[in-house]
Amino acid sequence: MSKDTEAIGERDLMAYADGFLDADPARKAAVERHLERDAGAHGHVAEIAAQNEEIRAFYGRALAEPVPARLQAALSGMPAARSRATLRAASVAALTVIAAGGGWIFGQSDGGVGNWTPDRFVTSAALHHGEAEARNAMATGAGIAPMGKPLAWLNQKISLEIAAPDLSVEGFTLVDKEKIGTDSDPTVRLVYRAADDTTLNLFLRPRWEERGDHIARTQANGVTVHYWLDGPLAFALTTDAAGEDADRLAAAVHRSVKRTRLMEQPPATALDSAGSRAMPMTVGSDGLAPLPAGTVAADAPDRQLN
Amino acid sequence: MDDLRWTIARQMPHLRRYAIALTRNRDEADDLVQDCLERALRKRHLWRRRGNIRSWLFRILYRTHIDHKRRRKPITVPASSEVIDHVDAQAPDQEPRLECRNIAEALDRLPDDQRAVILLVALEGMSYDEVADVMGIPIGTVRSRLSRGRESLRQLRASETARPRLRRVK
Repeated sequence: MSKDTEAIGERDLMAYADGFLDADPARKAAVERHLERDAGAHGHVAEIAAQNEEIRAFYGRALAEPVPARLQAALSGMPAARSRATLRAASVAALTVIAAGGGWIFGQSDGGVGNWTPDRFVTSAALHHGEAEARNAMATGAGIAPMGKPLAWLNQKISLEIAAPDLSVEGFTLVDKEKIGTDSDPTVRLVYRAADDTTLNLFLRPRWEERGDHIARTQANGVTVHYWLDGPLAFALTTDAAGEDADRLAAAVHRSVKRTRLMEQPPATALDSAGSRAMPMTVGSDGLAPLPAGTVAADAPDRQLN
Repeated sequence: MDDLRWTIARQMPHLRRYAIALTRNRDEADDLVQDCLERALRKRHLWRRRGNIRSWLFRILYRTHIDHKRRRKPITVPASSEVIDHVDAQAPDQEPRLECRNIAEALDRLPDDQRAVILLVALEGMSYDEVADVMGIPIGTVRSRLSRGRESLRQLRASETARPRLRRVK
């Protein structure tokens, strides 16, 4: 085997880590010699290999699952049923048409917090949009919890741990946070800013009802508000990014805030109507609340999928 | 069962796994695979027998996924309480409520195009040129998406490792 002396680059390291140099022993040996000399490259390759291994391990069980009958039927050319998700999408469309037509055939929501109604939340987000932009111009970022860390300033108001969404992948940095509204009607505003000064405002407020989390987009006071419900929280997002960029940002935030985890019981304001089932939890100074017995710990074995 | 269907059947678990990884939702994943199968059978005349059927199927699956995502853009609703509060009045899947500090959580944070490439390489062991064929992009773009995506994953994993872990209190 002749010795391969061509300089080792990123392509070689990736191919080696992904196992694509097995058919080229000379190059593989050259990469391995390089890795012995270069600790940084060695760490890089090890990181890629570890990522690949984790991905395969996480989704490994999916490969062993039996293929659902409806997929077997589809392959046979037989009519196959659709999932709940498809039917759900159809029902949402129908719902929208009914509402847009001016009529409403469903009962009043029983899941609000206090006298809160969703349209007030959306309208409030739209009204605060301009105000948040003004604040953003003055914000220095000092004292802001790092993105991805739990927010602690709603202690004794909301029994949740909620991590500020990390939007660094989208180029946004958290620059301001604030509680707005009254104690009985609290809303949290997070202000993000990108390098090009694009602003993104994320509004959160407690709710207590298990509902879906489809993103809706609406207009209030001339401001486009993306809005969704996620477990015990309602989210509204305003940004000066436009059109599809705003949609994409809303989807990114939506994914990011999936980290929300219910710590204990519904917020006290919601309990008012549901009976006194629990006391609000105190959130520690580090933003981490003790887990009540029976809840799922962060280091519990990962559940694979839904 | 003819040869094509038999060959597709061998790929179905792989298609489904990739769909699950892309969507992180089994219902959506099965819808995606079902649409992919139906589309493949409708367009079976386009498959050249000397070609790689795996690439062909994954290409259909990926394009179908993109179509699904486009269709699933935010819906526009009137700003009335009833409409907003009842949009998608469906009991949510419970899984997203759980802590998911793992590789899938990190993958979720990547741009779709980077995630799709990483999954094809890591899960299916596809070569870079096969990924390029599946996604209809140059091989250099495959490498750059892999590189950027993996660097983001590295940073996300590092930040999670540094984060304090919550523990059960007995």
